[in-house]
Amino acid sequence: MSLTVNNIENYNNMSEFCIKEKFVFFYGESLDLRGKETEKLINESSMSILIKYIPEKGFININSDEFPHYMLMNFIEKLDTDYILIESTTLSVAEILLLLHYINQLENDIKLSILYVEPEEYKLKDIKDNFQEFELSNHFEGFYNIRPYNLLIDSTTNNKEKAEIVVLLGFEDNRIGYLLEMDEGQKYKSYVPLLGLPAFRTGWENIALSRNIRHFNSDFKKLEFAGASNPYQVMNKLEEIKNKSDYEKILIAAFGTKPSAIGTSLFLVNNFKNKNNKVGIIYDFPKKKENRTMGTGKVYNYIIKKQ
Amino acid sequence: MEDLKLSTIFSKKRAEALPDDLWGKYVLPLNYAQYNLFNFGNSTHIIGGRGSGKTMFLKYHCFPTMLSVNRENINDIDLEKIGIYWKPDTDFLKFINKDYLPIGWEGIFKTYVGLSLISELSKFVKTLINSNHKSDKLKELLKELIIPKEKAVFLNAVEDILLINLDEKCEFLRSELNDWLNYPLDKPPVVFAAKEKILYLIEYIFQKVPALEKSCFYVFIDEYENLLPKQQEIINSWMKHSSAPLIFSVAYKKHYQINANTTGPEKITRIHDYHIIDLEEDVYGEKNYSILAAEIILSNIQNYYLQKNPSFEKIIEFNLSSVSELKLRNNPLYKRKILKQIRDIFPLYSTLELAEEIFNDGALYGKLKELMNMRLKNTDFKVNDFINKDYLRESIINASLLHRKSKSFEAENLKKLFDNNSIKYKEWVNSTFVSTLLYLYSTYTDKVCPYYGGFNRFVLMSKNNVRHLLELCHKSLIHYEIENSIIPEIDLLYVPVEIQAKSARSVSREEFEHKLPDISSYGTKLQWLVERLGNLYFLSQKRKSQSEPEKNHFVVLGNNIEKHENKEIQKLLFESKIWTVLIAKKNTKSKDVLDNAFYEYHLHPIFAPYFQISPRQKRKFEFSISEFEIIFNGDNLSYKELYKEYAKKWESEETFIETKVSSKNQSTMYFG
Repeated sequence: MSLTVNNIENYNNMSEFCIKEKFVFFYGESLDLRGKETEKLINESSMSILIKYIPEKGFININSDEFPHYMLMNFIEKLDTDYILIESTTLSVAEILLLLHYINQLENDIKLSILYVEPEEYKLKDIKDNFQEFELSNHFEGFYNIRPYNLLIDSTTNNKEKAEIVVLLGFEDNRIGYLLEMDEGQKYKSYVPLLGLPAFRTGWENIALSRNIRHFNSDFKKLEFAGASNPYQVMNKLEEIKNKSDYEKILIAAFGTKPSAIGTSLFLVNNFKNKNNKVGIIYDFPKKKENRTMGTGKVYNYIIKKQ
Repeated sequence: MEDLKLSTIFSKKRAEALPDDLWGKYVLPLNYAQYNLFNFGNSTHIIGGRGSGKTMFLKYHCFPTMLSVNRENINDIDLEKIGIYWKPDTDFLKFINKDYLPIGWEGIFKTYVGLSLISELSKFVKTLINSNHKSDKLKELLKELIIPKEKAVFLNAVEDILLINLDEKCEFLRSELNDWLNYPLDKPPVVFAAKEKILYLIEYIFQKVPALEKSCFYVFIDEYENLLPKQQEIINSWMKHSSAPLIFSVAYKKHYQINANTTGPEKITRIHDYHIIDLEEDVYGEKNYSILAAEIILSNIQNYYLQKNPSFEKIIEFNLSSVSELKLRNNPLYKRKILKQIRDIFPLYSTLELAEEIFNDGALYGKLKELMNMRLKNTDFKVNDFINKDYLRESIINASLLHRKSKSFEAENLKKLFDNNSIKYKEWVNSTFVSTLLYLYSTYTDKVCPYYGGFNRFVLMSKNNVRHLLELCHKSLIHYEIENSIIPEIDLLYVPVEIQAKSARSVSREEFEHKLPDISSYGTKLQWLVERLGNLYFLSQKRKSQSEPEKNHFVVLGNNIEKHENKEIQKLLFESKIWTVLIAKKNTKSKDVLDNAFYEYHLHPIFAPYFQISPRQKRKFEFSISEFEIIFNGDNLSYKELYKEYAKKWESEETFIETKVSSKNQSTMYFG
């Protein structure tokens, strides 16, 4: 079975968005107004599930209970519902990917959609002062695989078995720098930057581009584009990159927008193999700040269909 | 070959970007014989900073290099010590722990190591078969050597298997193990005790292949610090009982505090169980590093000329990877020759030439006169009284000396000393010339002090870091190629000092602005720390009097800051040493009884050109504990106050270097 984006509904704001049928609602911890706005769905749902992935342990926390990620399958199987709504604004790529992975394995057909609320604006911090506070620094601890999307690549792995890495570009250049610095060419033999274009707002692509350009080196010619708010395009673009790659394995660093994380998840789920899987993801789980965005923008509901 | 550029030869900076076979490419340090990893009968811990060349050093010892097809005359003696390099997948290892696998995680870890090393054993045999070892009989024997299925039952073998095919079998099982870890509820596909089974296979090979019966396998595990502590304990247990024919060694970053526990009640102890080789301190050392640097650069340049013209007359005739040629390379005549050659290509200015540059540059000369004039305007003296074209260096330092407060530096007294060519000037030139020079250049943002150019300066600024050294050459040659479309014959090749200095500034900026924040999850904090220290050193440099020689290191009086109670400070200090941003040295030189600081901390000299400070190690900063705490953990306001206090104390110009860190609109946003 594979998953695809069947339709993209968009709304001007959350009050326009309503669901008439019964649904199970997966959501994450709310950090900004966008998250708060979607909380109304908690009451409207027949069952709401607060979910969080714990990268250090490979565990999932569901409504305060922790268990290994693979137990999510049992949990989803037991849900008595015909419709699952995933609120992606408050979730990371890890929860979205794992939910899609295990929902795709369900035998019965189920209605599935993913909600996303764009911010009206991101907070850009203007530092007029010469000296920056240490505490302002965003912090990430390191990179983690998300099982089952893990690729085993070490010095014993033959060169032809090494991976091409596709990096979905975000605004934070250090994340890619750290990734490449840490690996030092062991796992990834080739690097493809994927830029969100069109961006959420005109001109934002330039921010992502200018912040990351120093990592391109000779790979600049490999730069690829896919709409920042269009998971369907991202999914197809990744498929295209995979098909023309000289490498058997593809590893994705999903530093881009949330819709691109959804597109990435769909691509990974569709290409997953139980044996000798060749597609993987790596993510750094940044500690996001509260109220890092302002206001709410457009609301998207991506209707996902099993094929 | 037409498109080959000289600069490109220097662009491969990391061992990982190079193949496993380093024969002919790796330059053996001159005192290698002492540190040959095969000399030791027990474990070795190889330590070194980022970019010091640990991986290259390890890979040099391993079979792809030792049995390289490029190496002639491989004999039986070369089969007595066999190195195996292994760098694990640390992302994979994060899931092999008690949380994820409550039962049997140790077995899974050992199996992963075991499968990987047995795979390497099989690759070793294949490499030997393809090597220039002369015995066809041995090669035939190895090609056909079968591991009977009953001996390979632990690898799920259902039939006999050729030793040379064992790597494919292991790769398949590694993949199965990886798949199993996604859903580790059933029985694992393969589990075995790695060390025991590897020994079991080795013994079997010894029985069947007499030429290998004296062999000892040295396993080098790279990036040991990235293993989980409990995983390290398993490796430690193997190291504790390491002896021929299977010896485990590890490599990790200097200053990393190893976990000494084993899986049993014992601990591993230095000397008894392992010894440490510090690549930078022991193997390179201060003295040998400049020869090593010269050989590395020259061999790269030579490769360029050889690729352009295979009949090029070599400047280095030795095989730099060969142990047998070390003696010849230790010849003083050879050392002098290569040092001369490299200094011809990357020349530097003598202090006299540096002084001439000031007088030949209208703006700098004007600044020099302006500096003197500040102190002379209410006196009967004129600037020209302190300038003598026969004493350029002395004339330049007069600008600083005149700003000193003591009576002997008053214009009238100084003039007498200057006119009489006082012996005191000799010492003053030594202590003041470079800082005055740096001061003068720092008054112009578009000028780079040529002091940073020259092979000797590259050696000083790279400070045992081969990666920095190559980057300095790489950048210099890029700039050289922009201005020179044709690379001349080697005898005519020289990179102007100005180009080198400009390149050093650019490498320094790149290192500070881009590479530093990337090196670890603590990178951004390290960048801020360097910015704070760099600016204080620069502030000291901006003292018109230059009453003390250049400062680029500090001590904290009366305190062992290594044991500071604040965890954040401890962590930042630790990270700064691990990543060689600061270099800690025991404080042994101090004659001052009040100075009971434990360590000196040197800012890595690669940052010197960026902050326009000296890369030389001269006078130290003496911080109080509270000043140190402000620099390492204080808020911006406290740091600013400290900075201003020093500016006032030194009557120094406040010229905070507007770094990218402080001036850019640093966003803390992630897409969401």
